[in-house]
Amino acid sequence: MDSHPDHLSDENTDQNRLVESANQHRIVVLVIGSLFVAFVLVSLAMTLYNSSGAAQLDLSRPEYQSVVDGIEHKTDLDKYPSSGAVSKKALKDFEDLYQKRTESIIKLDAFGGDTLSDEALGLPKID
Amino acid sequence: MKNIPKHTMDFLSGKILSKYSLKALTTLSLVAALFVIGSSAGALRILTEKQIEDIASSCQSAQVELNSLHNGDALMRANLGQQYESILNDLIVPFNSRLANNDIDNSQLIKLSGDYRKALDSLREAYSQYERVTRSTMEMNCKEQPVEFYESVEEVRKSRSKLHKRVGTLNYYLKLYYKDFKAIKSDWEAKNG
Repeated sequence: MDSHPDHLSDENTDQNRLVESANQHRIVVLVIGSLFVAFVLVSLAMTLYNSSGAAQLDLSRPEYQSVVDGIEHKTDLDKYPSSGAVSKKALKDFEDLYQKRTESIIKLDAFGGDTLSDEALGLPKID
Repeated sequence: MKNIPKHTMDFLSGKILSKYSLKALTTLSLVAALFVIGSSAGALRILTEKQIEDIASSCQSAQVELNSLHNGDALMRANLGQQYESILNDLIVPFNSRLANNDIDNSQLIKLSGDYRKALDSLREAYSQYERVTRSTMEMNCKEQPVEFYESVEEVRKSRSKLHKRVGTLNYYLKLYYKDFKAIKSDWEAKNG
């Protein structure tokens, strides 16, 4: 009654051999498995890093070493308090702070100018 | 059916279409083709052999210039981005809250803050695009591909100009916010002496 067809019994034997072999080489299987998982996770992380735009803003990359020192880490900037009454002084304080902080960046013509002209890049002038 | 004019009936039944459609379609296709050719000719620049040679001989120094500009821009982006974000988080948002806590109508300022935030996101996006285009231009084998290099430089110019416009938009919102703040301030002073 319990007899299995021959092909099923062969399959079971193959599976048993595979399990046995995996048991014998547990460490190798563990190392290969770990490497595979690490590879998948790193690939996922790199894809996200590049597609999210973080790569373009990351100044810790080796090619930016020369400019990293120029970054201004302003941690002592005044913060306007969100609580409190509205008074003449409170409005004046905000106005002074706002003007002080916005004036310089509005005046700065960031990413403007003719820095990419043919002359500036040393390329032949092409009309 | 009696009220439908004969021409419309002819058109619907395919008589006019069969008579005039071939001519009309041919003319339309020609106009469309001319338009497409014209617009692509405007986009493509035709370079002479001499210009291509000149580009190939001077492109490596252009790549060095581009690299130094790229580094300067990365620094500017970092410092400028920090300042724009700080103005929003340290000044604008707390001030809006303070007005709201004191039951002062600040709906216009809140709308402007939202617009400013969106403009800041657009600036980030524009910078990412600019950085990507610039990097690929710097890494290009320009001696082998002078024409592609020059086209890529033009792309860099376009992305930088877009970036410049995004900065202009942010500055515009900063000015507008100040203008609206002044209006709220004078309104408050008129009511409270």
